[in-house]
Parts: sequence; structure tokens; C-alpha cells
Amino acid sequence: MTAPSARRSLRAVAILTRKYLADLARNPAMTLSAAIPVLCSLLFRLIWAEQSGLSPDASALVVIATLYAVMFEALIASSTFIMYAMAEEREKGVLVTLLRCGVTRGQTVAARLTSGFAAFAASCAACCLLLLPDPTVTLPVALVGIASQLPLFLAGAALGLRAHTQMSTMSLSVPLTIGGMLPFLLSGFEAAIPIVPYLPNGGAFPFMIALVTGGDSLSALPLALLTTALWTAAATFFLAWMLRKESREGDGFGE
Amino acid sequence: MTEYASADKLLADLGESAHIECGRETSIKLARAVRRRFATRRCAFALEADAGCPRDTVTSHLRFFSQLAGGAVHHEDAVAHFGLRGIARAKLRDLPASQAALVRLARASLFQPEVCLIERPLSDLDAEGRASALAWMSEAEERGCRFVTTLQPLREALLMPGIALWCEDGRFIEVAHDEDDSTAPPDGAFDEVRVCKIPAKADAATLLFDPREIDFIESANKQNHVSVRGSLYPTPLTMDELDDELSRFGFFRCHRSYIVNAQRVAKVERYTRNSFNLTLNDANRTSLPLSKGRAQELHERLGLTREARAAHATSEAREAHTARTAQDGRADSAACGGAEGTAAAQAAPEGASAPTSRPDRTRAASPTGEEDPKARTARDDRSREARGDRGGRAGEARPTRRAARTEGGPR
Repeated sequence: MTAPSARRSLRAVAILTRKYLADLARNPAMTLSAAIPVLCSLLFRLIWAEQSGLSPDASALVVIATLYAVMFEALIASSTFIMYAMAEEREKGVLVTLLRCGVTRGQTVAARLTSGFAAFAASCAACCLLLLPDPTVTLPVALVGIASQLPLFLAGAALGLRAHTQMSTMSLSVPLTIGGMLPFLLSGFEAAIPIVPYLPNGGAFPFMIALVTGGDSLSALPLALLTTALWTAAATFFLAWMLRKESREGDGFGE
Repeated sequence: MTEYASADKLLADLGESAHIECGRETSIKLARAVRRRFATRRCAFALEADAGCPRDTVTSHLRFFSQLAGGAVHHEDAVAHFGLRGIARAKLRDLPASQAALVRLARASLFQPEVCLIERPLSDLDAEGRASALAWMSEAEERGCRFVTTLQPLREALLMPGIALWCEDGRFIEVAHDEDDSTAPPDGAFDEVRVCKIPAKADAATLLFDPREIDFIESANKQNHVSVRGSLYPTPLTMDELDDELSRFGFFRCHRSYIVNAQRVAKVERYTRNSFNLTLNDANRTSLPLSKGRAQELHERLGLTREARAAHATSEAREAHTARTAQDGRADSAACGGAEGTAAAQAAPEGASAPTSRPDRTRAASPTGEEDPKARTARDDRSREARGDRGGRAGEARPTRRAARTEGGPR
């Protein structure tokens, strides 16, 4: 790719990202999806944390609430902001219109990922701010928590490429939902806890728990980063494969 | 008649815009072929299946595509050109088909294309929309843009600048150009009535239409069709035969492929330098192409030109004068009892009281039904005078069927 065409491509991605973010803001269902975890965090803060003070029980609840907020938001964002939005774009003929205007499928996916992940990050950061008033804890938890969900988003985009209708996202999002919830579900079983750090979006869990509860977070960091990096690479490969497959199947002119 | 074996061959010789009567499948094939052939050039596509985000407004939709196109054309310019200001804040999902079609064209215009493929560019548009669409196409073509449009029916192809073709078994056949050597006769001869029925097929039956029922005749894909109350019926007659038969009933050959019932014409519009359009008041409010070379003649026939109006005014004045003279003559002849005066008195009031939109209506007839030679000479003089400011060109340049018919009397 030459420099001018790379510039043109980046410009197209930027324009599309801006458009997709505006679409998210204009769509009440999407806005509500982004707002629900924030509202829940706010309620938790007002009702539970304030009443319980800083007791050990409250601290454990904060950990659970934070993990839940991050994970729930990631699940909503990857399936709604990415998969569902991609399927809607395709079903309503907007995608072919874009393709006929010279936009590539890769550019639309890149823009969709950027906008979806940005919306998730903003919502997640708001949850962390509400749940973790200590800024020395909030920032690393938010950063690692957000980054650890990247594989989920990439997989969501890959599955979104296969979603031809909005209804089909219902079935396609099942593996994503189960995979995304696994770390949270397995945390409840003593025997399964050692598996959690190796799950696609579970790498950051031990680190976040250690950070919030005041444990040794630094020792948990390398594993969190490594697991996230590996799963991100795998999801990227899956996305690239799907993208290549889809590009071969259609270019907006029924080929 | 030029023929192209495939879409690629047609595009290879794309010297001017091509407007093709074809179905959706061929549209897609053509779009692919355009994309393949002009991959390195700025292309724009406006297909019927195109859609924007339903929650977008017209302005936000066009702004977005203007940005994607590089911003060469500001979206507000497109909004203004296509007359979309009134619906600028309307959501795309709420737009009726006519406005959605205009938005598609406006979007294509943002790309300043060198090659532009449009599917059914005029089909859903109202008269105003057609005017702005054709104006844009004309401007873009002057800038060097080549349009490939796919549409149905063929008459829409003839409204646009460029060549018209139809598709048959994957081949593209060019419609012969409508030259300016129209052999249609000048106005007149509307008043001859003769029993005439136009045969047409409907399933196994042969229908016989009264010419007055017919809205227009269309020649498409080597078959002529009679349009009656919004339906088309194939007729075995050729266009020339139909023209000959129907011209006496006020039909006018507005295009090589179209004969229109002049009584049905509700509107004559000039979209671009070379593009004329007739809107009929038939069941479908059909638009028909009007050849540049035949436009003047139609205007004359409908009395829309200055010359025609002047001719009619002169004719009316002369008829009034003739009527007065005849009345005076009748008084004189009553006194003298002359036979010649009586004949003039019988002829003159008839001409004077008749609607004077056509000079031929002043034709005087002898009691036997044959035209009086004197009255005929007077009529010819009036006709010559009426056309005098045209230097007799119309009469001299086209002394064709109509002139022969007028001089030869009823057939």
C-alpha cells in the first residue's frame, strides 16, 4: 500500500468511525446498552458502598461489581455495538452502498471496531470511576480491564462479518456471550479458578482482584498481559481470515 | 443500427452516455463491468437497492458521503441543486420513493464522477425532480462525465443526452437516432374525419381502438404498442402506417419511436439544450420524449410559437373581415339577387363562426361537398399570408404528405 492510499484509507476509517459513533449516540437501544452498567454502578455506589462504608464486605462487593461492570459492558458492546450494528448495516443495504462508493470492507470493520471499543472504553471508565473512588486504583484497573476485553471485540467483529441479518446475530452471539462470561462464572468454583487467567478475557481478572483488594498486583500483571496478547493475536487472525473470506464473496456488486 | 455483443464491448466504445432499457440483472452486470473497466477512474453508482442509515437525515447522509468523496462538492450544493432543502432534516426512512431517488442522485453527484452508473434515474421522479436530474446529467456530461443508465421503459432513455439502447439476449442494440429530417407535415388537416380503427392484440382477441381512445403509440424492441387508458397493447401496424392513419386525428410523431395524441399533451418541458419532454394527462401521467427537430413543429401545431400566434391573429382578423364583407355582400346580393353573392354569404359566416385555431377550418364547401375553387384560392392566400413572416420556409421545406393531402383534399 502506497503512502497516499494509506492516508486515504486512514481518512476513510476516521470518517466512518465518526459516523458510527454518531449512529451509536442516535440509536436509543445502543445508548441504553452503554448506559445500563454506568447506571448500575451509580446505584451500587449510592446504595451499597455508601451505607457499608469501607468494611471488608463492601470491598469484596466492589470487586465483584467492578468485574461485573467491565465484563457486562464488554459483552454488550461486542455483541451490540459491533455484531448487531454490522448485521444491521448489511441487512439494510448500507454496506453495499458504502462498498460501491469505494469504501472497503476492511475499512468498515476497522471503523466499527474503533467506534465500538471507544464507546465501551468510555462506559467502562465511567463505571470504574464510580466504583473505585481511589484514582491510584481506578486508572490501572480501567486500563487493564478495558485492554483485556480486546479479544472479545475482535471475535465479535469476525462473527459480525458472518451476520447477514439482525436475527442471525442472536445465534452468532451465543459463543461470544458464553466465552465472555466464563471468567465470571468459573470464579465461583474453587477448582476452576486457576483456569480463569487463561481464558480469552480472563487474563486481567487476578490482576484486577489483587489491585482492588490490595494484594500483589504486580506479580499478576505479566500473565495478564501475555494472555491478553496471545488471545488478541488469535482473534486478529480469525478476523483477518473471515475478512478475506467475506471480501471474496461480495464486493457490493453481487460477485 | 449498432449492436454490441456484451456489456464490456459497449463500455469499450463509450464515446457518449449510454441509456439502456434492461432489467435488474443486466443492471448489476453493467455495474460490475463499469467497475472492472473504469477501476482507475472516479466512478459513482446509484442503484435502486442503495440505502443510507435509516436514522440519518438527508443532510447528514449527504455530508457523510461528501466527506468520503473528499469534499470536492459540498453537500449543501447538492441539496440546493436537487431541490432537497425542504426535506433536508427529514429522515431517510421517511422519504417517499421520488425523494429517495433524488437523494441517490445527489449522492452520486458528490463524487464528481468520470463514469456514473445509475439505475432507473427518472422512474420515480416527479416533473421537478426530472428537471433537476436531467440538468445535473447535462452539466456533468459537459464536464466529461459519461453516464450509463439502466431503465425501463425505453422512452426514458430518449429523454437523456447520449445514445439509447435496449438489451436483448445479452446484446445491446442501439436505437436509431432520430434525425431532424422529420417528414411529419405542418399543421392542418385535423378536421378530416374518416372511420378508422387501430387493431391491437390482447391475448387471443383483436381489439379495435377508436383513435380518440389512444394516448400514444410506442415502438420498443421491434414491436409497436398502443397505449390506451394506461395499458399497452401490441399492434401489427408499422409506425409509418400508424402515423399516416392517425395524423388526421390530431396525432403527432414526437419522436421516431413515439406518436402522441396531441389532445393528451398536458405539458411541454425543455429540460436541457437537447432534451424535451411531453407530459400527458393519461392514466399514468406518462412522459414522452420530444425530438429536438420536432419540437418547433409541435409548438407551431399547438400554437405556442410567436409565429403561430401571429398567424392565428392574422387569420382571425382576416376571417372577421371576411365575415363583415360577406354580411355586406349578402345585403348587396339580396338587393341584386346575384347567385355569386349568395354562395359567398353562405360560405363566409361558416368560416367566421367556427373556432379559428386552425386556418383550414375556414375552408368553404360547395353545396355538393366539393370545395369551391374561389374559396380554396382565398384560403390558400390566407395560409400563405399567415405563414408569410416565416418566409414560406415551413411550407417549402416540408411540402410532404400533409401538404399533398391538403392540396389533394380528403383521402
